[in-house]
Amino acid sequence: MIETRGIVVSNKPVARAIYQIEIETEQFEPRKPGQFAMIGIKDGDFHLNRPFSIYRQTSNKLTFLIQKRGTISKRLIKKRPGDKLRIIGPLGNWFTENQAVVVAAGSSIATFGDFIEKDGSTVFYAAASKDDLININVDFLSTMDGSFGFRGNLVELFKAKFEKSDKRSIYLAGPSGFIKAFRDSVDKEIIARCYVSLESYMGCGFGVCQGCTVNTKNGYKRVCKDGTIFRLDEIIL
Amino acid sequence: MIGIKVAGLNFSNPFIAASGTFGYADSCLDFYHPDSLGGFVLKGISLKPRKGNPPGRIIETPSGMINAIGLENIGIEHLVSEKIPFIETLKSVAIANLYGESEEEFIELAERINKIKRIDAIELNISCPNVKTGGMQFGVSSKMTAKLTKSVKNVSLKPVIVKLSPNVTDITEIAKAAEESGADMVSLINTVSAMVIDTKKMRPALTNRFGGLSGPAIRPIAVRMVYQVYEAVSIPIIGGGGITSADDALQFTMAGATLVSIGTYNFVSPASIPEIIKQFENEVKKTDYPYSDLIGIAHR
Repeated sequence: MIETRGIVVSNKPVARAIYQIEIETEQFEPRKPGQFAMIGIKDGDFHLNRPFSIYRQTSNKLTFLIQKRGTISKRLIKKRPGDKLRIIGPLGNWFTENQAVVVAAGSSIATFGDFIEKDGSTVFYAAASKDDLININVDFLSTMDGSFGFRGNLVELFKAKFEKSDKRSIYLAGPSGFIKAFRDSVDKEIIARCYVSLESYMGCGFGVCQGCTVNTKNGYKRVCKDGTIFRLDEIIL
Repeated sequence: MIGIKVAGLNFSNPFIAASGTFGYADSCLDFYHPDSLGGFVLKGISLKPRKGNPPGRIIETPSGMINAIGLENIGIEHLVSEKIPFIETLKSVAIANLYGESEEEFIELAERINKIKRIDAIELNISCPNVKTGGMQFGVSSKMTAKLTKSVKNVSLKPVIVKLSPNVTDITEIAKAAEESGADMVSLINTVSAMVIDTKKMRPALTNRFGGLSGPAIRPIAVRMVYQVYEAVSIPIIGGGGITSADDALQFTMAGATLVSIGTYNFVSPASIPEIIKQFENEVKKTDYPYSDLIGIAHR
């Protein structure tokens, strides 16, 4: 893990409110599946860095999917080639199996860059509507309004298409509302095989500020350092 | 390098890492070695481990952040068994930050620290705004500050630093009470009590409702308080609040701080801290004054 300078190589919209930003760093350890980086803007004023999954990596070139959401993401999507950013990473724990069932809501698909279009993995992906989907090949896809793929939410899609005989690990990522709904409506036997990459408001990203804690059956845990990946049946949402 | 001796302790430079932003001196290892600093203050420690406040503990605010961690820590026993062995390998001044809910607890902590050779000094946390008992309860009263400082001084074999709260009417009164009771240094400022309301959820943004504001937003308040305390006491001052550059640090020096502390910036750009120290030394050189003459020079 290092703190390094990143230079924007490209930045383009890939869905209605999602931008794909490519950043070249001075040096960067190969990230493992599911790891993230803290991105900081260096425009003179003070801001905390923000956590983003490293969607793809080719040596020192990192790709992120940035969803237009708050102050920092709105500034990040306006960055142009040559602009400088602060990058700290790679951070967090990682998915240990490279063949799994992955279930991603919206821009959280960025967590699973290593599983998309890969043999041996099955991808469930959902967004609000067709315009919110990034252009990738997945196994099962749904939109809330039915404008593309299965009509319904991700939990409904999963319940309709997942085969119980499938004994692989199941990896989830998405907002806490989705995680809760998934946990509350899927069989316990399946939940026991689920791991979730949690989102959290983070101060530092490397375990020192203790700001991003989540409640678990084993007490408070730091999402950034003890996670971001936890057993679904361990966390208390 | 600007080496400086304060309260009998040798600091290789005037920079220390503030409590709660540096873990147990092991959090910065990926970015720089702790010996790059003159000293560091460990995460606030209590007799028993504390789990801290429920999640929803931090939020960014204009030029700063509010935290309500609630002094989550591993407790003194784990500090000794798990963290001190690493700290023993370091050369920088190691300061333990003590948090007790009562005077008795502070005394017991100080006695336990007496036995840890590698801890060079103790800082009394009488200014944490995020805990229900102890903490700021002591630090907002001159009388209680004096009583606690005296009691700890009676038992401690190490220099005692009192960390002051800005959440008071007159910080100089508290600083004087600490000095008169034998404090070897005062450190200021701790975070400023603050809150944010989430207007969508129509409730406080932090689960604890209130938290402590830190970062550049509080720097002018901190500089003002260091300036005032410098005029009120003659013991050395550790000054800090929103330092992110050499020039920020120099403001504290000129206001009267012998040592400066970096807090929130440890979260944002840890790797730049050795560079800030280097730049600070260059800035000091450029003034043509010896470092000791720059301390409080703004009072001329």
